[in-house]
Amino acid sequence: MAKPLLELRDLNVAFNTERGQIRPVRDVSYSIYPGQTLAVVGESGCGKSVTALSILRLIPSPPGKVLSGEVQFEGRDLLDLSEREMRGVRGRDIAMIFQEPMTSLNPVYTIGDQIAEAVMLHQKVKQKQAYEIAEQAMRDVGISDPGRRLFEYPHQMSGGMRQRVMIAMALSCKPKLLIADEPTTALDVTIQAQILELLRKIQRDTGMAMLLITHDLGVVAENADVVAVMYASRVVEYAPVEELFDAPLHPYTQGLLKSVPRLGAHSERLVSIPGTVPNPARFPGGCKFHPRCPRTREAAAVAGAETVEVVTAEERFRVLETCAVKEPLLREVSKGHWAACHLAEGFESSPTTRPDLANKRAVVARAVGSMIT
Amino acid sequence: MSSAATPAAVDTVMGAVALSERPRSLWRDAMARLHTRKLNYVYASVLAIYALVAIIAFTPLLGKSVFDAQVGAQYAPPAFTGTVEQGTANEHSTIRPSLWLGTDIAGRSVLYKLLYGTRVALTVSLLASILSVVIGTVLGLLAGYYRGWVDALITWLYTTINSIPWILLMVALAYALKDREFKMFGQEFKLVGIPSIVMALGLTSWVGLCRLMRGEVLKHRERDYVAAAKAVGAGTSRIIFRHILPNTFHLVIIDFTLGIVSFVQAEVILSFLGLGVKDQPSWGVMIDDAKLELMRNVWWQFAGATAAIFGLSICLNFLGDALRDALDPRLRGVD
Amino acid sequence: MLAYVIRRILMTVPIVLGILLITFVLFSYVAPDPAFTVAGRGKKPAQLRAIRKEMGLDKPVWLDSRAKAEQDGREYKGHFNSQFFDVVLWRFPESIKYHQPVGELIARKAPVSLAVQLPIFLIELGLQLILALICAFNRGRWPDLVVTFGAVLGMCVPYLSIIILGQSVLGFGAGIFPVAGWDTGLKSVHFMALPILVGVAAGLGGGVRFYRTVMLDEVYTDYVRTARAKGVSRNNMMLTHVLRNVFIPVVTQTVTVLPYLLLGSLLLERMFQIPGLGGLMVEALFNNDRPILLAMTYGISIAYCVMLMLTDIAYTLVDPRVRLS
Ligand SMILES: Nc1ncnc2c1ncn2[C@@H]1O[C@H](COP(=O)(O)OP(=O)(O)OP(=O)(O)O)[C@@H](O)[C@H]1O
Ligand code: SF4
Ligand SMILES: [Mg+2]
Repeated sequence: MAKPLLELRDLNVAFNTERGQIRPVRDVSYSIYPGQTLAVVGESGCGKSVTALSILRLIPSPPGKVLSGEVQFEGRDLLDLSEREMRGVRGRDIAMIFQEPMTSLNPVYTIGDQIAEAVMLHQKVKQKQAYEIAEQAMRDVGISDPGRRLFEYPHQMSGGMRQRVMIAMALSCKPKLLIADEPTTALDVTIQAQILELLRKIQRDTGMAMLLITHDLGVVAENADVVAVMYASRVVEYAPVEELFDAPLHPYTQGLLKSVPRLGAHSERLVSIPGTVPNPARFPGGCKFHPRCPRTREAAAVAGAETVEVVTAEERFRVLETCAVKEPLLREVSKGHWAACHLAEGFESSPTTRPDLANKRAVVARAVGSMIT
Repeated sequence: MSSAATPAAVDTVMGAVALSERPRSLWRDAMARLHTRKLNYVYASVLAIYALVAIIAFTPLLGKSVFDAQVGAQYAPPAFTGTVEQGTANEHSTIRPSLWLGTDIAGRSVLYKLLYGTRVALTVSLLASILSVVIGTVLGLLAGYYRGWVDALITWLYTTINSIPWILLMVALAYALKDREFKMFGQEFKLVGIPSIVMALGLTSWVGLCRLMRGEVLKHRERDYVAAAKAVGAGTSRIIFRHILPNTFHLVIIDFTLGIVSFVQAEVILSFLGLGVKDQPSWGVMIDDAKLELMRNVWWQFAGATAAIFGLSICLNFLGDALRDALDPRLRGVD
Repeated sequence: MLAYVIRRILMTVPIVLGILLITFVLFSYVAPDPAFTVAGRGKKPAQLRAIRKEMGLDKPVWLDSRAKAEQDGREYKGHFNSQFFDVVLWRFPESIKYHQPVGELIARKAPVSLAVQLPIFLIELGLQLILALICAFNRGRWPDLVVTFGAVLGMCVPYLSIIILGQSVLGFGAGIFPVAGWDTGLKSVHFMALPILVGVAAGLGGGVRFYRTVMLDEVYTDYVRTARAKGVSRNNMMLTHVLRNVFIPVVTQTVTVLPYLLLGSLLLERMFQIPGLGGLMVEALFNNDRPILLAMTYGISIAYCVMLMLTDIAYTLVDPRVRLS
């Protein structure tokens, strides 16, 4: 089997806030193979961005800090590199694009300056050549009239154009891995489709691997090879994309899939699971999903079950004692399918292994609606 | 179904309760944040001591006769003890607090002057701060709420005042108000010392707060809770004072605190310019008096007054910063 | 761009009028009657009236009525419709103390103020930016804590105390510098050193805190994160990306203090006997020299106002967002 390009091992990140430490990322592991797309999905605040930023060691510090774990990239642990070595990785081996194209470019420099800066940082070229490379990169991402656009400022462009500029900048040094943190969330639907199409094309052409962070299951269905579902700082399910859509094991994933409207519509946010997203400063004990989990309530209704009562602002109900007390950790429940739920079939007897899948999807794109049965 | 009351289970229930806990109110939250830094208690206690001294200075305990009396020779250096009943048979040395900080040119106790000066400093700065905060708040609320020509007028006023360097305007106003007599309600008023300083400071310092308040109100008046209040028929003043003001009050508090600092410092400048208080000791006048003393190695009056201002300023500054952090909605972090 | 400049200039007009109005009301209505100053103690009412007449203070404050003027047998001119426009046209009466036109006095003293205040300003700004940069670089670590703490301490010592201390310790005590005084031409450099040192020391703190906040605001922006993700080093990020953006508030801050440079520090010039505008103003306060006070308040406010306008226009040169919209 091929070796993974990037391998996250049990990453733990903390923020020291005034109200004490919060831990938005716990024991997160995933791996990405060359040419593969790993999608990370989950509700807002579950730790997707913080995980991604810690790969490049860019979490704001203070207050952020990586407590433990490894970020293996081509045989090196990025967390052990010196700041100088790390700079060589950023932008050249691993590039990143962000959610907010509006604010992610420096307002006082021209587009050309900013792309050329990335080029000059990693390639031994003169300024003039750097601008030529920048121009080519802009052409590659479908920006018309790049010669003129080079000298424009970010605020002169539309959001979609700026995101293209971000992509051009990220790709100008031909990275092996692109981290795309919600690259389309801030854009409107037609532009979203164009940007994703662009990313797919680039991936086909260059064989680049991609870590795609998103809220949007439609995007996942069309782009991902493997999916990691995160909930409240942990990966709760990990599977190849077809498997995940066909046979989700975790009740949270099932909820997510149910919340996608059947007929098309990509941009639905994952909002329809009842209950509130837990605040990382006050995570519930046991399984962090238990205050919202329908499965444990059903199980608690069965006579003879060991249950405890849960009281929230809205309601009172009973859940299984195990769910409320013991946190389930990710296990390989069936071959190549990891989940973290006490009530997943065969969970108790499954091995606790680190999730790792080299899968590539068979079909390039499928409509979301057809996947949900 | 069993109700398992194991400790772990109770723990979990607590967890679930915490999960649904409503956000604490702004003020409770701010107090909790202030409480976590124990140093804040130090600042608050020092301020309380200043306030206490000022209050005592208003009582006969530390009246005019006390600080005005000659207690020793001219420029007597600080000493712990001193001789009393000099020239009598009973002459003896004893502990004399009046000499702890030495004496001034007229042989008066520097310590007593310093303590008495707290009264002037706090009166001036508190009153000026109240004046400026009231003007700033009211005008800011009005401008933000009514918009239209009210807003245009108020904006024009504060832009204009803001275009005159503050020191200049303040000094000019203090100069203009100095020793002025006014006829009002058939009575004559003479503005001596404190009232004219308070007016000069207060009338020129409200612009910053006014501008902030206006901006906040413009933001808040579009919020749902204001619409809701209107929907149930709340009147304008009720909306402004019951709904919008509490949501912007933290700005007032911070401005008030930091205003006091700058007014205590401004009093020194005014004293130096001959626009300060006349008939009672103030820290500003003491520093001004001390400007030539230092060259004669008479440092105590200068040091005492400077330290008094420094101590007050630093506590207010740190407390102001703490308040800002505790109350700033942007910095309130994860919620 | 041109439209913006014109709009900005038009916006200044009502403000200038406002300044005029405020200074006018302040000095015509509220301020003490300068006739007393001119006359000195114990003058008779008749003499006071004569002096007032000479100074043009005998007229009604606002508008005059022609009928009343004729009845009194004097020129038809109210205080407002004569002096107001005098002020607009920069026509001030003579200084009471110096018997010289105010304009001349100011023109003579302004360069002196500038000679002291400009170095103070430049050194101070340089130091403030460097210290703020050190803080922002080391956020939360000891250099940051030391500098910010020091800045707050510095801000809490009264300005006058710093001057007095500098003067008596460095000037009088150690004898490194002359205690006070001034000379003509280049010889005054000798006298300038101490006031400059003291001025810088007194003003340092506030700016350091301000620029630190500004820089930290920038350090946590998205575009800085983008730059870091490209592989830009921390030093480069600070020196190119952050500093260039910080430049905008710096320009604002800077331009607004320029008129103060001319005014000089009231305290500094008085204490060091520097014959500049600040000293002139203080003297005028002591002498109740109304023409000087009026001219200075008005003139410097107008200068300040114009500077504010120029800042906004300067913005457009630094910040492409404004330039191009
Ligand atoms: N600078 C920070 N200081 C303190 N806490 C932070 C900081 N950045 C992130 N967090 C915390 O980490 C948690 C996870 O944040 P993260 O940005 O990874 O969420 P996300 O999954 O990317 O959400 P979104 O979909 O909204 O981008 C958040 O709940 C937040 O409370
Ligand atoms: S462990 Fe229990 S609470 Fe958690 S997801 Fe599974 S059933 Fe729901
Ligand atoms: Mg995110």
